[in-house]
Amino acid sequence: MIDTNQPRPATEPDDAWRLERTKTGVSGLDAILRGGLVRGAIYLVMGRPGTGKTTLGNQLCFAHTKQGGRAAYMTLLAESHAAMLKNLHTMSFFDASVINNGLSYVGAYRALRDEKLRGLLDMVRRVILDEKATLLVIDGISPARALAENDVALKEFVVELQMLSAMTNCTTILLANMTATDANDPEHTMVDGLIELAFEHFRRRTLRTVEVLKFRGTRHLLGRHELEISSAGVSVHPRLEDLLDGSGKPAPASDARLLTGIRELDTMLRGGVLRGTNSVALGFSGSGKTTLGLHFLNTGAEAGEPGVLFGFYESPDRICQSSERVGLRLREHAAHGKFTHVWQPSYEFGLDRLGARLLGEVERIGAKRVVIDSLDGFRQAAFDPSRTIRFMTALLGELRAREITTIMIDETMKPSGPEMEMRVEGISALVENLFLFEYMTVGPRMRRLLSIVKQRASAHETSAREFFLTGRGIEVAPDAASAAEVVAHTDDFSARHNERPRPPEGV
Amino acid sequence: MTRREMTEAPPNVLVVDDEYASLEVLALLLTGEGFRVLTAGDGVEALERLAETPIALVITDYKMPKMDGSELCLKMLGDPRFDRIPVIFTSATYRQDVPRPKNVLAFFSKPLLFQDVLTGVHRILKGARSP
Repeated sequence: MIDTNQPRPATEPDDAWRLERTKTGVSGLDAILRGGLVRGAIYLVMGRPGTGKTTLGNQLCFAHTKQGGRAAYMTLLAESHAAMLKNLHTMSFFDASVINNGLSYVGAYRALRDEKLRGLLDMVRRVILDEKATLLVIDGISPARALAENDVALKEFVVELQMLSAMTNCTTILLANMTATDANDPEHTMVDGLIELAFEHFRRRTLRTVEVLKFRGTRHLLGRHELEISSAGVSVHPRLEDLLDGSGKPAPASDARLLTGIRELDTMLRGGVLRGTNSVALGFSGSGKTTLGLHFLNTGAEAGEPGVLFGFYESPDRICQSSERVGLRLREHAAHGKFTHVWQPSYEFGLDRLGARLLGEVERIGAKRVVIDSLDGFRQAAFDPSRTIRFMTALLGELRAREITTIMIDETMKPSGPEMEMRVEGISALVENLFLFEYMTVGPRMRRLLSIVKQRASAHETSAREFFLTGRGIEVAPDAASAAEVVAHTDDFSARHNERPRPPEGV
Repeated sequence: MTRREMTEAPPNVLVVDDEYASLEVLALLLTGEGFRVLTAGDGVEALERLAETPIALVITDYKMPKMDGSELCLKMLGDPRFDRIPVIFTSATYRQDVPRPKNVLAFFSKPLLFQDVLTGVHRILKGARSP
């Protein structure tokens, strides 16, 4: 209240216009909303059955009470409260102690049926004031539409509900069984925000998504984002390229070098890879790419630089076994928090969930080094393959901004050049350093060559060298002499008139 | 003022606003608190209500068609039947540094927060000037 005898300067900001936010408590959703729901605003969450509306509505209530707010969940014609709570009690957000102690479940259908929209509005008023609710979820708004006298009455109801929410500073969420294509009715134009939950089908995979179609007062993240329902409830994985859009400050270019742990390779690189750069180890299956990654992470851990192996194929135990066979101590480094292996089958997660897992782990252990094994895991995880390059651009940009040095492994379809292609279209333009692992057949023997195809902003050795997988891991020949001999005698190359492999596409 | 006191003798509050939802919802909320609420869509209608029914308090929007809140206050001050009725101003656009008629005892910016308005209403009806 303003004292009329104490006029305020006209330029003073008015508190009434300041947008106060209510965090949803739903992982990822606040990022899409740029900070949460606006307190006292009204939102419509719509979607077909099974898209997660009821779970989300309840989770918002439980999360709200956990933050110290008070919530009410009002149903019209929906499943009984007992049935709903029975289904929800296995979710980790469920907390029986807050029910009727900060969170109330209210049935409002009778008020609607007997007294129409006026009765429902009065019921809402009573619930908000009596329960001192700061969050109200109204589940199943369709009966209100069905029982409205006409369109104007429904519009009046929505406008009044919006005003009631604002005046009581109670954020209100309407859950509706409909899709955006049906959303041309009064309630859709009047609300402060429209959020759609949906299914997206890609071949035989189905993805849950969330899209914020309208959100007054905020430049929210556009587009469909992956929504996951697990035992933890609903979580949202914002599209990485949208989430990170312009947010990462580019890290200053560094002259500092990081040793790969393979002595002769570091010599070929003129002292190791530049800090904060990304590299691709490109080669055929079994050529030693993963072993290079293990050397890189082991050397980092020993230098006090924590590292993450983000892998799609080998289990953590198998990786530790492999490293022990070549004298690397990754199991020990893992025990001391200097190494961690995040492992997931690529088909289980979409790109954004993978990106969030990687960046979360990087954050958690303060990683300085990352190995991704392999790029193809991301490619296979993509529901829309053409998006992979945009995603990778954002991910690598973020890792670079955090001054993290990354090695990505990419498998070729052929054991050697000249036509070795990277499998994520367009990725080569992003790659700063490229190491080529090749198999050559010389008589009955397979021999391996390692080349540095490029190292951005630095000189490097241009000759290939032979390397060996031994009990000490990768050992690179001290000079190019044996590689020259391999190239001269290899069956593959002689068939191609001793043609040297060309750099992969786009390099 | 307690709920019981209001139940025994509910004060008449006149809410004046040209904005439909503001008017209806503030009336709904005040009714729920035990007040008898009358409504008007502008200053002209408000004067008609004042002439019909004894009013304890007027809550009026500032900017309205036909007759705005400021003019309504001046008309009330010029009429001995209404010149002692306290007024609360509400507005989304009103400049707070502009002098107000002396019967305006409080001002609330829109969007209104009902708890603030209710506190102001109780204070004014108790006869205390707002701080």
